[in-house]
Amino acid sequence: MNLDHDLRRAFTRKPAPPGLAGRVLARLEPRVIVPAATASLSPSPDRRAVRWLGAAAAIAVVAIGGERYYRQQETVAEAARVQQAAAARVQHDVRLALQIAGEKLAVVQRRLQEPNR
Amino acid sequence: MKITIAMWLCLLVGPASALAQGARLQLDHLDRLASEAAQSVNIAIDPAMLKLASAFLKAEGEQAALKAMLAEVKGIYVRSLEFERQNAYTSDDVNRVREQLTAPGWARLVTVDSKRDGELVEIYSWRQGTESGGLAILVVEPMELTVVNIVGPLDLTKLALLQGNFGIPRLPVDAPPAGRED
Repeated sequence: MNLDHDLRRAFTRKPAPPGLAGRVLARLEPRVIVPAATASLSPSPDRRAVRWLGAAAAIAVVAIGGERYYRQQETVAEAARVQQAAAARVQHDVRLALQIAGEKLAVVQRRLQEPNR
Repeated sequence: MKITIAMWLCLLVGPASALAQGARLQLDHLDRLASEAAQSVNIAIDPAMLKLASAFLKAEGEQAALKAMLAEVKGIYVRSLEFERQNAYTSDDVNRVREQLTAPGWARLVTVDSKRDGELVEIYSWRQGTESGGLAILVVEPMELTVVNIVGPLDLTKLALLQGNFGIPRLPVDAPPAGRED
């Protein structure tokens, strides 16, 4: 019976102590409740600077790498052009040499084909 | 003692370098005549240059024939000097070339000696066993001196394969082995 009695007394509706609502509100007012999503979009100034620096570094790396790649490609192309020009010069010399050889052999051929002089 | 060693070195190295020279003629002594010549051609193409030239040739048409030829040739050397007057060169200039062509390995294929025109043309072949290892053409005219030296297995037969190209006419492939003189 005591237990039943105690439970009834515990669950009996009682009016809140006077001033409770005021005290609760007073403790809540100074706090600014910031939604979680808003907090992630507005980092601290230090973190923002770090991110900008990171982005700038990435852009610099890409720019320097691109410039070096372009220069390397240009060097390779220039070397190929020089090599091709040298090859063309040698080909010209080979043709000239063969032409001279051919002309001289033609002289021999002509002389050999002439009737006895 | 040092002199003896030097003499032995000369005796040993001298012939070795001569053999190493092979089918290549030394034509540097003709360079001094270039300044006196009205027209001069000086071509010296070594194996590296031939390889470079060959690399940029296409494997079709006229270029294919040249490419195949260059694959075997080890060097092309030409000195051609045309003068405006006679006796611009000396007989010593000619003899220094001909002396090299009397070395073992060289065989004279053709001689055309025209006393009337004062023209001498000689064709020599460098033999490595039964194979041809080079070609030399010597042309001596009153106002012209030309030496063509092709090092490598290029004989008249192979040169004939290029006939019609590069100004090479039909060639006497079955040229008589000995010379003919007017």
